Amino acid sequence: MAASDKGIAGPHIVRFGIAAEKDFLLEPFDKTYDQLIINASTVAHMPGALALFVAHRAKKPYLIDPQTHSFQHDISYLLSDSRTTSGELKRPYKVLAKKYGDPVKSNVADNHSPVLPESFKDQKTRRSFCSRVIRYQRQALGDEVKKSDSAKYYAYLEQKTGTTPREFGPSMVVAPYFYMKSNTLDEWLDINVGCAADSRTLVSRGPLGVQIVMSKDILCSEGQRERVVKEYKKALKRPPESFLLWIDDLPEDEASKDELVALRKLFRALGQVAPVVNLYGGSLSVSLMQTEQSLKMAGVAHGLEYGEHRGVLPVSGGPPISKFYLPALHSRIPAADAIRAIRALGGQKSVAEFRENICDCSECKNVIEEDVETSFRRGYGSTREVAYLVKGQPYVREIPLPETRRHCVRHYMWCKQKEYSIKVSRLSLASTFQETREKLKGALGPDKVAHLRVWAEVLSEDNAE
Amino acid sequence: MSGKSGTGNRQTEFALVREASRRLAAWSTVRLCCYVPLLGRCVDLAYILAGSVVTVEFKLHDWRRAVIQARDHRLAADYAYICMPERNVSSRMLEEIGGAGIGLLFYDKRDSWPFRTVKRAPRSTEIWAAVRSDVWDYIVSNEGS
Repeated sequence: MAASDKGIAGPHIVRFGIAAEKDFLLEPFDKTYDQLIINASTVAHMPGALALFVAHRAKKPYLIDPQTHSFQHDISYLLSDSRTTSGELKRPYKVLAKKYGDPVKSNVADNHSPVLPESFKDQKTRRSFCSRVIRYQRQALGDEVKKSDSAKYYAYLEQKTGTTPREFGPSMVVAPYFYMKSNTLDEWLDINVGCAADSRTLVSRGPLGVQIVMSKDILCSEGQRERVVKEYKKALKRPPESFLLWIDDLPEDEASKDELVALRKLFRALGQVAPVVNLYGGSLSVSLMQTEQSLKMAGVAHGLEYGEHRGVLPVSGGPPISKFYLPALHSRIPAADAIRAIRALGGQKSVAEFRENICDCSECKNVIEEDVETSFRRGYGSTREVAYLVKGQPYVREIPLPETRRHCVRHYMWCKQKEYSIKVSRLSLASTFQETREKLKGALGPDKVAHLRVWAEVLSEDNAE
Repeated sequence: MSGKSGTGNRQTEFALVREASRRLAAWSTVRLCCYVPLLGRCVDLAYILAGSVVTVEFKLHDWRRAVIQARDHRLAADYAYICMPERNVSSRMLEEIGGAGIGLLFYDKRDSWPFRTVKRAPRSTEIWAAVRSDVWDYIVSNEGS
């Protein structure tokens, strides 16, 4: 589970979401990705189980997203709504507030108010906050090993596998960070840059990641975008090992060309300082990473069948409804659209056609039988009815069966593996996107294939700035 | 009708589905069922008549959303309709309904047959045999519910 001295073990990074998903990260899928990202709130929620999972089951390098931005928003996002603890901070955030200390603890835990930029103006306060955030990342899972109830088991594993507790540390630590919008940039940029610079002095030897979280309006404002890059570059005499970039809610298959061109420019500008990881990226980011070395992208992260984009708010969220990831479209679509697309691409008449024209991943080989449409519906489209009462009135919806979700996630993971390993030129990819759009626009309508044209245009643009 | 509830306007929509199904049930030649699963969607009302599967998506106002939903019904229904209370119908609305390959019904309170056909649905050219068969079986197994 070694990571490079750059802190990122490889380009394919997967986000650990919820405990129920962990099986999708183990054999045989452990060979499909390079590194895990785990949110600090998840670590705080289940440190023991995670320590066991990361060190002895997945055996993957990991890093922890400290999620310090969680404490800058309306505090109601962090409050429990369960019957017994209603109005209290949710337990993971209570743990983090305590570990991160002031100003988070006094503002959020003690007074139920968010942290403000002013809370970090004092350099001594800010530096000690950075120190605690970094220490938490370094120790959260390692400390778990030392706890008495787990220690015997870990000692047994250590003896058996030769794994020592020191290897439980993250491959990279991440500086505290806060979300910036156009109208809050003036207030938060200095704080973010200060946190990055303070963290750099605290992490003089190991790899440091500097996470930048910004809104789409900053992304699309050339002046503000350049200002962000310039300020980080100026403050970090020794650059971080990676920039970890998160654009608030930017689904690449819905984004405008302007947004995606700006994203590419930002990759390039940051890449001139340090390698860039897109923390919530889709197939376009992967395509850019694979085909344009000059961007110096170190990785693209996604979740299990989701997580290719993420809004900063709400701070936490549940798993999405499963859909079929259509490899040619590089997008998840409902089963009804999937079958239209399968017909349009000529994959419905036989297993051979399906494998040739739609997908030949291990899961599809398992699911798709000679009657393609029947087996597709059974494997990827089976749902069950869920009825709710809302204010005494019925509410009915269809949700995927657990086995449908399993098939969809496995298929997604295999598809992603293929995307991350593709070796073609930018222009060839662009041409493929355009051809697929032509084939599918009649079946799915122009809106659902529009991203392929936009991606092709972005990839085809001259890469000179 | 993915995510349909009975609150507010939707309460009337819900009542419309129930009222239409109650009146259709009086027809001995019709086998029907409400809230039929179809590839992640939930069809308001589906019935079998003369060997054909017909689906009806009820909407009070948002006809564009109904068109999107009913379009997916065509994978299982020989004829897919949206049904609304009587209203003005713009040429744009008829054009979009026609373009989606579905039909338009008005809910008819007076006649014994609860629908008045405004635009007849063409026979679906998108039938997905496995899903049509599921819908057929569901109607037969849950008839009257």
